[in-house]
Amino acid sequence: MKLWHKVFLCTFILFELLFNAASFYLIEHNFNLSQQKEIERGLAEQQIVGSQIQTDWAYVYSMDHQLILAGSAQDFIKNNAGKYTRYFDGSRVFVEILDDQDNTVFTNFGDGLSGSRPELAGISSGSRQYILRDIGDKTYLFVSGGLVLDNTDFKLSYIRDISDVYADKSSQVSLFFKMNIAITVILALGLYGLIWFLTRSVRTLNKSAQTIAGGDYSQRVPVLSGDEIGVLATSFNQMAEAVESKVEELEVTARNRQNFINCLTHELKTPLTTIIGYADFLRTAKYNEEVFFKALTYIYMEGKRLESLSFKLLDLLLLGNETPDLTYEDVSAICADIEEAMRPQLEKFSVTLQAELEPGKVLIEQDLFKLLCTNLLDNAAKASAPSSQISLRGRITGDKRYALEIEDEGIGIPEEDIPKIFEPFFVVDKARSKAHHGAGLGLAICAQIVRLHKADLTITSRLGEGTIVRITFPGLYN
Amino acid sequence: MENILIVEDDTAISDLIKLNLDVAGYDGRQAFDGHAALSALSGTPPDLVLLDVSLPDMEGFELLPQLKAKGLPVIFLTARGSLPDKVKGLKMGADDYIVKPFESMELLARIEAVLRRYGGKSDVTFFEDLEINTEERSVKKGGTAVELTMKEYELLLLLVKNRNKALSRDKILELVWGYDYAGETRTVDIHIQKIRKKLGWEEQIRTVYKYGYRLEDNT
Repeated sequence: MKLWHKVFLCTFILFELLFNAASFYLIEHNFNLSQQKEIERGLAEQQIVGSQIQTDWAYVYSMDHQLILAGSAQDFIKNNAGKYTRYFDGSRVFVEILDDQDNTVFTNFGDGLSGSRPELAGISSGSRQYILRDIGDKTYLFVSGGLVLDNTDFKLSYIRDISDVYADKSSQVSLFFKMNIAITVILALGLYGLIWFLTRSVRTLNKSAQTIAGGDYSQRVPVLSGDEIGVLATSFNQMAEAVESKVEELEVTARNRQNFINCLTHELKTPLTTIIGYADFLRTAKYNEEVFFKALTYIYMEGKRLESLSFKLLDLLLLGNETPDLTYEDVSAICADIEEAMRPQLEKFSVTLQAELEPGKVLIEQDLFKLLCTNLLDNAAKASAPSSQISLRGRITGDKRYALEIEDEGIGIPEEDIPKIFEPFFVVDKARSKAHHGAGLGLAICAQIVRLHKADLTITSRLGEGTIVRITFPGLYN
Repeated sequence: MENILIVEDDTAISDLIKLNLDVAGYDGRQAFDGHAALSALSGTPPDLVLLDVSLPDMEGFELLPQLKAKGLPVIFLTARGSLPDKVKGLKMGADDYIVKPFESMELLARIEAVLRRYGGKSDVTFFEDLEINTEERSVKKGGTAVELTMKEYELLLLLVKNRNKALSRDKILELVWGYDYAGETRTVDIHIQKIRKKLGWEEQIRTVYKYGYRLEDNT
């Protein structure tokens, strides 16, 4: 069952219970009050009738002694009781007087009462009691008490029709039922709409959560209110954002990895195809010196290419797992070493290196720094025409960092390729790269080293004029 | 002699394919990028194109529709062995798809299959004065029919198709007798002897030391 259905049902049932209980209590209370009033009135009026009869009798009795018109008290009652009833509403109030043998002396209650008379049991002179009795379809209040006239005991019953009180009660109950039905319908509709409206944000939240669970991570929840659900929706959106960026990150990583693997496969398969193909050819074909020399040269070259690729790959893989121990080293001294180490390679391309380095201690890992510089110098040499110049410059910048620049006068890089050159296996000039056994991993390695040093690398290049690679290291020793 | 255009940017691989095609008796022409390939089409059209997927100036997939428009059979040659690439190539109308690294025998077999499908490969194969009609399963030497058993015929056909190439005894056993043949390589030697005798090919079928046999033409 849905939450808003539960809220609706609970509220509805609770209200109905309380409302019904309160209403019934009120009706009952009202009824009791009215009944009580009737009883009290009955008691009072019975007393009035009783004392009136006694007073009148006492007067008549004293007159009687003088006039000697004596009759018995019974006769007095028979003759005079009728007038006492005049004071009351004749249709609702009746008086009955019985003698001590329960014989009717006077009654104005219709055809008189028959059957058992519980209201008369245990009446003694001076005591009064009341009882409620249903006779026919009416309810009567009986107030009975003893009445002593001329030393004779009589029983005076005051009978009051209090059906109205009951009728009032049942009319109230029926009114309540009608009202309750109306209220129930209005309440149900009102509550249903209200709760549905108030919980709509929960539903939109749920819908969005399901969309996200279905894989659409860009989905966001509209924040409809400032209440708890609104706060939840905001938090939910924050969570969705975090998930989305994480998933995107993972996708990019996966894509890069797949791309890397595709390129690697290609880079491995091409030399392997050549080596296996030529080896197989040599194994099976008839000897021909020219063809054999060509085939063996290809095998050698492709073997060299594989060798270079495997070394570079190893560097790249090691760099990926490494957190280098950075120490303060004098860059100009290290660069002098590098210059020495690179000399044969530079001579091979017949380019000259112009080094101009300001001494400065920089936070670096020495071997990685050497690998970075040799890679960049190697690239510069490969891009350069014979007898051109490469410059290696180092200086302390205004904001206390160390900037290293490598400039060549080589072929340059097309502008649209600059963002791509750090991708593994990307080569600007395929044919040229191949001639130098290049695999397109050098700059990927450089980028990794720069990243490990938290340095910045920028490349400015003009096609046909040359390239400047500038690396700015943050950790300068004061 | 069928004319095959090799579109491949890697010179080493291109040369390798050309060597293998030349040995097998095809005329191989080389184009090292997409534009060279298109200009090569304007002369004598080739009977078949071997097309590398990644070329320096364009993708092989871009070149394919222009080749298919001329009704040329095309075999893709690529390092990309992924299934989606294969499906894409074949759906675009390539006749076959060979993944690098490949073996030259496989390459030749697939070229032959595609050529036969296009009717460019006749049922008759010649070698010197020998004529093999694969449709009739008949062999004639100098116009005279030669009687061969079934295995002798298949072995001869294999040698002629891979002329100038050494075939190992194991390879011959596998291709003529089948993978699950439990016999010995001696069987191959016996059948080679019989063929040499029936055709008088003592010179042409050369024994390659510790390896197998090679059918050589004297040219």
